[in-house]
Amino acid sequence: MTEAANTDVRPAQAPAKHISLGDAALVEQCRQGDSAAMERLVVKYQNRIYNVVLKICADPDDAAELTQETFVKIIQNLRKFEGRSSFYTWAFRIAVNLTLNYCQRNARVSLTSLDAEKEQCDSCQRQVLKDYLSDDRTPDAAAVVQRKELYEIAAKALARLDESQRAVVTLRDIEGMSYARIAEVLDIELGTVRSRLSRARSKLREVLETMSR
Amino acid sequence: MDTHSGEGRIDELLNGYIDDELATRQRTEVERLIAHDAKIERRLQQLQKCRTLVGSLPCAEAPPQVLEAVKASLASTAAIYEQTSYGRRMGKIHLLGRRMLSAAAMLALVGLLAAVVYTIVAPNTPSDGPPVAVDRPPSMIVEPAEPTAVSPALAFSGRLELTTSIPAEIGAVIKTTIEENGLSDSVGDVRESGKHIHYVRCSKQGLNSLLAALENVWPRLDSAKMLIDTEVFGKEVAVDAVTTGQIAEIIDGDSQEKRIELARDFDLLNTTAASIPGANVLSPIEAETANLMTIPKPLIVGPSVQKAPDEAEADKTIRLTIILSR
Repeated sequence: MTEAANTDVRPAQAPAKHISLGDAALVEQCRQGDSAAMERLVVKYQNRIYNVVLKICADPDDAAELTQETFVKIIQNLRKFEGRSSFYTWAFRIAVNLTLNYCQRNARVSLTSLDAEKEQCDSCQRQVLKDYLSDDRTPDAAAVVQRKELYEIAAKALARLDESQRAVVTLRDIEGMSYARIAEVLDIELGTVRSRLSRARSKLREVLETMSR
Repeated sequence: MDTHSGEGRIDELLNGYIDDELATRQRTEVERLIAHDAKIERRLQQLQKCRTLVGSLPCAEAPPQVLEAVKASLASTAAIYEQTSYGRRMGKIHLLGRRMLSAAAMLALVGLLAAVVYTIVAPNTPSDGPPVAVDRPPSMIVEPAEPTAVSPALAFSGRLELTTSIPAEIGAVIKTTIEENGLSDSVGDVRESGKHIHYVRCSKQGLNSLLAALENVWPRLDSAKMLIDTEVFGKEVAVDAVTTGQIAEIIDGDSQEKRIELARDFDLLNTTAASIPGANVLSPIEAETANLMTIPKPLIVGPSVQKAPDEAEADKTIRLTIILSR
């Protein structure tokens, strides 16, 4: 890892600013046994946590179970939450750790090769992907959303990454976290986030190119 | 290797550029590279496409049952916690009870042990009362007449036959002595055919007092014979040349058998002593020197015990007939 890559150029945020007022109030009410506040907290974060968990574990049933387990753990450990990081970061740390542990325990060896997956893509999907990758213009997210054929390809490509790479890509590209927050959630160095994300995207690019041929 | 690491470094910078995670200086450097290198520009585009593709994936919504499942899970966990907590509380109470029971058992055991040790080690105290230290001159101490007075009362019946050349004088002395010792109410004095007969009914203590007083006149007697009644009527055991000490010792016997046995022994002893040549010379000398080496014994006295009249009367179990003749 280079020195430049290890340098966190973003100014460090003060811990007090990490807790948004809404979360802080909800957390305090939950600590006092307010079940309504607990419900609001679950409803507020359940979709985001479920989405990230699903992208990492790639199974809707497992994702639902892990999301539920995450919230149970969050509520049971609220008294231990000291507010040194934001509730959002703390909650995602629990969710991602649970999911990564689950994936490691239930590691499924993918018997499907990249070529086999390539075979599974129909010609239409392959053509759409080829067009997308060969377009010299800057990619437009709105245009991509309209090409629903790409969703399945993107999900398959994401599934070709290992869990730790999937976690970094998901937190960055789907959840939109900064590198610093990703480092906090995954409890890794900032430089590790940079290098892991770089390798993940490189591999993703290779997978997509292979699938487009 | 260097090329690969160089590409990796460029990729990191490009990804940082895409994600807006670079410092201004780094950002300027990346823009300069992109402007001058079409290959890097192409690579940046590919990375951006990857990012856009993943980022455009639709957000999945959590199943609606997640909230209910979380509630149910928390409720069951709370129930288990409550159950565990109750179990722990009961366990603590049970443990406390067992500890207290153990402590009580240990205390009881220590108490029992202390009682046993006290029974073994503790000194015996007199039944009449605890001994007290005497802090007075010996003259002020009321000395009991005889230590034997405390012996249990056992009925005695006998006769003491005394002969002397001066019966009137000795009789007067005996009478006076009896009166001085406070036994007058128990004494009957009969004179018949030149004999002085005294019927004495007294306790052991009274008899010992009487004998102690008679000690002074005993050498002036010509003979002293004691006859002890036995269970067979008319068959008596006689002790010749009996002394006051022997009389006291005989009466002090634990049982009638013991008294008779002692009487026979004393009789034999006295008869043998009388047959030794020079006994008539030695006797006065022995009598004179008998108390020479007597060391007064320390006395432990307790509170005086006043007996009830009935009790004192019941103690008068000794019947002695003193016959004084010439």
